Parts: sequence; structure tokens; C-alpha cells
Amino acid sequence: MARPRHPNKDIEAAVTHAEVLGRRVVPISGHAWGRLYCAWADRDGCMVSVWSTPGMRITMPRRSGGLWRGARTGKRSE
Amino acid sequence: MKTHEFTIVASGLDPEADGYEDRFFEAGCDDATLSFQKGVIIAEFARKAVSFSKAVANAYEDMLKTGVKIERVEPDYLVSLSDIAERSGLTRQAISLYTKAERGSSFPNPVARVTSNSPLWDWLEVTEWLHALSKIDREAVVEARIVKEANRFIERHEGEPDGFAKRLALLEAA
Repeated sequence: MARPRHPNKDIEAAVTHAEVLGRRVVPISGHAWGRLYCAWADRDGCMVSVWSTPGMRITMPRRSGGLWRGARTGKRSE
Repeated sequence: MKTHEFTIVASGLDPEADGYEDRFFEAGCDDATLSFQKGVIIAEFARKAVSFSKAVANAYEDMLKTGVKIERVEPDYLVSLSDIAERSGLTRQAISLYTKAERGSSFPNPVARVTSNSPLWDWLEVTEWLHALSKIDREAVVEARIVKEANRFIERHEGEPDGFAKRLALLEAA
């Protein structure tokens, strides 16, 4: 099913990777572009918000790595 | 200006409420990756500031503007052997030798879960010890000191930004 693409290509790549790891992408309106829910998000899983226009450094690949962290286990690791 | 990375853990806002993310954006927290887990809000900052203490203090004030209750600043001061290895960039084996005093002498004693198989150390004590051996830079010691003090402050003066920035700035020079 098609979802809207994130205008920032680094973030779009991170979001795509998060989907591959099983995160569900839910678009929202406002300053945030959408949310990533892990498979356990209804219980003790994790929800990550994705900015439309984040502070500069978050567009760096290393930072956007935070978007899919924990996707495999549903738990955040340090 | 350098970009400083740290995390602020908070609670008290429901992500299902309207404009949840917008509150953070409008408070100036758009340089944080925002996540939510088990009722806890986790804001991973990458904040530009002249110093680590300024970065933490500014982010703390911005977070308060959103109406959250700030729980603590991370990286946490309690660290396991693996945490020490990861944070210092040294091998697990090297740290293990230090803790058993098979290499170096008088490594700090663990401060929590001492009787368990996975004791925890105080990161500030560890950085001071490693810095004395030139295994870690001074910046790591200063940051550890600031995070520890920030958490002490948060525990005592819940939700009051007054004095927070000044207190942390003093440690930068120490």
C-alpha cells in the first residue's frame, strides 16, 4: 500500500528501512510528518515521531538511525 | 558550535492528545528524536551549543515549556561492564581486566548490584579513573559530571529551571 514519501531523502531512506524491519508508518498532520509504530506498540513497544523538518543534524544518517532502532525486538537498546 | 548528544526522559503528556508533537516543535525541541514507550517520553537531542552544559540546560528549559514532567537526563550514570566498553571505545576484555585489577590498579568499586553477576559502576568515577590513564578524554569526564549533577538537580528541584543552567556551567570549568 502506498504511503506518502518524506520530502527529505535521508529520512525517507530511514523510514523505508524501518518498514523493512517491521515498523508501521502512520502519517499525521502538523509539525510531525508521521509516526513509526513497532509491532508491540500497543503493549510495551515503541512509537517514534518523525519530523517534517527536523533540526539539521537529525537528517544525518547516524541520527536517523534512531528511527528504526529497536524495531526487531520491540525494545529500545542503548 | 558543537553538536551535543544526550537524552531527556520525561512523562505526563499523552501522545494520543491533539498536537502532541507540535508542542515539542514549538518549544524548540525539533532537534530531538521523539519516541514514546511504556508511558515514557524519550527525547534524544542533537543540540548545538557552546558547551555541553548549555546544551543540556537549554534543552531542559525547552522541554519544560511543553508541560512534561522531566524524569532524568541520560546517558545514565549507572553503567555495566559492556556499557563502559561501549562508551569508552575500549574492549570488554580490557575493562574486565581493569575491574579484576589484573591490569592497572584501584579501578573504582561497583556501586550497585554489587552481589550480582552484573554489577554496576558509577560512570563519573570510571571516567575519572580512565582519564588518569589517558584512556578517555577530559570531555567525557566533564559530561559525566554534568549529567550526574543534572539528575541530582532534577530530583531535588522538580520542574524549576532556576539555577539549573548556572549550576551546570560551574561544572564545565571545574
